[in-house]
Amino acid sequence: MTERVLVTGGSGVVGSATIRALRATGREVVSLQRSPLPVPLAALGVVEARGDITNAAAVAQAMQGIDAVVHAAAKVEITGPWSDFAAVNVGGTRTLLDAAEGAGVSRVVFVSSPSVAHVGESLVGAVAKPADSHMARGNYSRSKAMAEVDALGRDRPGFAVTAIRPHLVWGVGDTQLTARIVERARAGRLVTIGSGAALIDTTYVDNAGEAIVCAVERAADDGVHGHPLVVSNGEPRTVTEMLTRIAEAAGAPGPRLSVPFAVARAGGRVLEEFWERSGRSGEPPVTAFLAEQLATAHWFDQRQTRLLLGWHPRVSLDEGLDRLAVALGGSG
Amino acid sequence: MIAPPALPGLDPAWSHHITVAGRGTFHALERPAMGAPEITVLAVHGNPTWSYLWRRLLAQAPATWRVIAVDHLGMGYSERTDGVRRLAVRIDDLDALTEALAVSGPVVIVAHDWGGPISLGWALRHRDSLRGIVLTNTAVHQPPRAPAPTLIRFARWRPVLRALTERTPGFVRGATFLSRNMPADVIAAYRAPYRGVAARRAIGDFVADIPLEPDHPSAATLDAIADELCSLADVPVFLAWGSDDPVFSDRYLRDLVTRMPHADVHRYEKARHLVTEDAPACIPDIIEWIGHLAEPTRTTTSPPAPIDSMDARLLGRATDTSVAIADMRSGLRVNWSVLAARTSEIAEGLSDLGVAPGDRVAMLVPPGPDLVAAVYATWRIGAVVVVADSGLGVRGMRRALRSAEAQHVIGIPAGLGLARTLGLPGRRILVGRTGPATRILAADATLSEVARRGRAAAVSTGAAPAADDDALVVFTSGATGPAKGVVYTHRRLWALRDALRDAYDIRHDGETPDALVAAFAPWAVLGPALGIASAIPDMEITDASSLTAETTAAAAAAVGGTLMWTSPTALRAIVATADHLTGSSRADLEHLRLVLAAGAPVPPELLDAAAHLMPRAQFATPYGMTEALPLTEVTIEELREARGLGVLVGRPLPGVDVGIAPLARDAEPSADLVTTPEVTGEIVVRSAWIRDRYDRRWATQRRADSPEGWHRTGDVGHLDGQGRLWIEGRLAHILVTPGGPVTPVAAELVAQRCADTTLAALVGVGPLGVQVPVIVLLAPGPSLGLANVDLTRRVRAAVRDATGLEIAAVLTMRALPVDVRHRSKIDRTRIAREASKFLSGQGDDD
Repeated sequence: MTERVLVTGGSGVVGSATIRALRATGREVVSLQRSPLPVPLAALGVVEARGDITNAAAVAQAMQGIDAVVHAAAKVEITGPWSDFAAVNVGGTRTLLDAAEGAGVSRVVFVSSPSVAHVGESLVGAVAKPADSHMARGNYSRSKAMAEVDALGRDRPGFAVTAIRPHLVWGVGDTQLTARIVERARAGRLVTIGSGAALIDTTYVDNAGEAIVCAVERAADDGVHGHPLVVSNGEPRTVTEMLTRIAEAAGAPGPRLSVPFAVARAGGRVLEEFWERSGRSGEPPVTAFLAEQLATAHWFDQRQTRLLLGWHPRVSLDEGLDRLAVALGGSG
Repeated sequence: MIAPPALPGLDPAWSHHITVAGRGTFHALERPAMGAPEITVLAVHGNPTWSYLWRRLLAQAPATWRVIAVDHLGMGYSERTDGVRRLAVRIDDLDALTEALAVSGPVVIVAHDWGGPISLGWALRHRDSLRGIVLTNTAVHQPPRAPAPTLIRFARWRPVLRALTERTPGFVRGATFLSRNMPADVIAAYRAPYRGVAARRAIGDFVADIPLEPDHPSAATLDAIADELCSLADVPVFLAWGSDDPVFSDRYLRDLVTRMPHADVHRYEKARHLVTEDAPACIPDIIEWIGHLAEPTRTTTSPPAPIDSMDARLLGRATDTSVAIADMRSGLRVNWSVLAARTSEIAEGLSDLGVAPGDRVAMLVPPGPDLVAAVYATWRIGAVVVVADSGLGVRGMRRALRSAEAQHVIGIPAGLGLARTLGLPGRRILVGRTGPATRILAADATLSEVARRGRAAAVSTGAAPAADDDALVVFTSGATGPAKGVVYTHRRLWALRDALRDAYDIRHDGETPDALVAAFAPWAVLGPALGIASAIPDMEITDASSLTAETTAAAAAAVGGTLMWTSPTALRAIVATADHLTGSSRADLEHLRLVLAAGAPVPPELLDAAAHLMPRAQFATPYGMTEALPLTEVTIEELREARGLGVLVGRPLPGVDVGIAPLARDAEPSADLVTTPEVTGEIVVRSAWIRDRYDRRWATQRRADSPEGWHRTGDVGHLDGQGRLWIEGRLAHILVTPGGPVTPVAAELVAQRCADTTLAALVGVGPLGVQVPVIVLLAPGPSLGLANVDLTRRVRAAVRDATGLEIAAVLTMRALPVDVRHRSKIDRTRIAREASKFLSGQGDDD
């Protein structure tokens, strides 16, 4: 019998990549999200179950006949009031997990973020540590950390839960990180922070989707269930090189200026405060968290992840940049 | 009784108290054996430390050992008893404690500082169960002619004794400063049991119990222990020694070695009094040493010895009036008969001055007739030549001389000046004229005076040294860490001489005798051994680049040179100045039939340019190192065509075996050797002329001498299908990536070519096992910076195409750290450290 997988957050970058990868394996996909799926995704033959993950009734409805769940829906903004993050990321996850347990789902993949476990320190060949909501910085990370702890805490025989933490997802169709870099590069406003020499690991979007499909398959394996796994391309590059090459893929100049780290972090704090108080929408150009992210190394030991998931990134960094250049009209 | 609090590295389960009737309650750390103990290790601390000193020993010892580290009464977490406990009482204490603990044989004692005499006192009472003795910076005797350590004398000074040791934490604090850089939490752990005046009383007692005066109450006990040590000749001893201990300096090590000449010694460079803290390898080495006691004893089989002593040819030409050495710097030419006579005179004179067989004599003399005569004279009387060359730098030379424990020095004024600050016990002989300097430098005689003494001396030097006596101590370049002393015996030097003769077909007689141009000046010393004349060109000895083609040609003309032994740097200097040659000088260079360049790889372009200048010459660029040279031969044609993953060094010379110890995934080389082509591993060599051993480095020697009789070079490489050796880098510089070990040289050569620079380093960033490869290029600009994205991409693509390796980042460095001696060995460890910091984003601007 064909497996039926419920995916939340299907319009997001990771969610949509997961749907494509799941369909490629022939699984049936039910997509739970608020707005209609983009046409190309819908065209893959996805069952759309419209609804909000904070709505228990809608979630329970969508959970009917589901074998496995990939929970990728989240509020991902850099700023915003805690209550919003708590409602969607913590409350929504709880609602979804309750429903999954009730409906007899056997495996759940919680899509998380490496930021749930780390503070401002540099990560060099790091392994996934347990999520820690007291340490995590910012509302997004804190709420995701609480949700991950909740999710992994429910892991038990017959109900396998794992957390996949893709690191810095980018690629064709990404309206988050990639789009922001491209937008700034085109406006000539792309800068590096500090020396720009921090090594960072990133994940090409299709690789993240495939890793999650592997996690769906192996969620009940020892070492996978109950544990978080960081996923990345395993090709660390300097911040400067990554920014330059993504900009080049869009035909725009790379970063020419460098802002000293201390200035960026201090500026970020001021802007966060201002955004918070003035109730401005959108997000500030830099936050303290972002400044730290861009100025410190973040790369991971991928050996366990690859071994446990039986997965390796099929799209290399170079291949991903070529694809991006084709999509954006720049040079790879 | 109070148990120790939670302290770094200390397992609370080890801690327990034992009350011994009539003595007090002892605290000890104990790690029981699984099953009946194979061996019991009894570890005894000194003053003012406690059993915490041995925590790593407890943590790392094999599970089949019982390990006990005791706190003396009044110390650590033992009871604060009343009254002064003198040495004899403390030995009784230990005796009673081990009985209470039911310690039975075999026992190895491990001791530090004042724990040395106490545990040795115990050992002498328990010979039946004693299996071995490990001593770390301690003493059993105040050597004559030497004042007690200033620090001890100060602490013992009555007005300060109690104030320093008890009323204030000064002595406890001071003692932890006798380490180089302990973390704050470890320092705090050492001080933990000594908070408060009452807790420190025994520390003052301990200091007061040091018998500096002959009538001291503990003097007799200590003297008895010291005197009895010689009776332990059948007990294995390991002396693990911190070289930079301001309290127990090398002279105490010498005293212990004199009492127990069979001791294995490992001297840890730059480690201070708390050697187990300062030298991370110390505890593992102690464990290794104790473990090796269970192995069958090695029977060393010496390679067959040639029969001629080093000076046989020199003596054979004692009536020859042709030039033996031409020193173009001083203009001095010495003929064979003069050289032979002078060597004999100096030999007699040295003996007369009290230089004994086995004594070590440091030569701080630039290459020339004086050095040659001094070296052969030293060998003649069975003394050992110590050569600390200026390539080590002044600090390195001082360290080297201290580590080799040279007793006597023959030196030019600068050399004697250096030696003076070292406080060497023996004779100081000045090479130069008598003058005011003689007194300032505390010289005992000039070399000429020594020769005069020798002429007058009635005594004749004794028998020639035996084949397996030590002949020479030389030093590694110290590119990574302090230079290591390397010992050659006479037998091995004879083999080296004959290997050179055979490999390069060197003829000392016949129609066309060879003559040597020593363009790398130290080679001149080998001329007399080979029976050939040698000439040292007019150059700055310490700066090979000061050589010119003209001065080289002049040296060749002086002796009819047919051979030139040089270094890559010197060869480059000759080629660079070839334009200024006159016609006749050109002819002198064209006369050379063999040019040997050793010490570093020689680029084929340089060889081509040199071949143009010396068209008749065959070029030899043998692979080798301080411990083993020469090992291989390769032709210029092969070098020109060499395309492969590494630097081609050619086929093993006759008499040399080369094996490869393949690398495991964690880059650990295997114990077994293979000769399978294209397998990368540590290069391991064997021949009659490799080093005998490392000097006073038991653990280094044990690792290097594996399999027994071979030498682990620390280089990595592979053999090709034709049996030729390719060098891929240093074992210590291997990257361990998720894909396995990666050797650096192949990628470096590609990156160098791609970026059009002369030097590049491949280093790993990140934890072993997940390291990412990073290329660092020599390029103008910041001291360390990012290469631009275009260059990064080009280098990455070139390296990927050639080696399959994916480079994470490309950096540039204004100056790459290289060794002093050859300026070619890159210190990749240091570069890796700097690159790691840079690429972590830390230390950006905050």
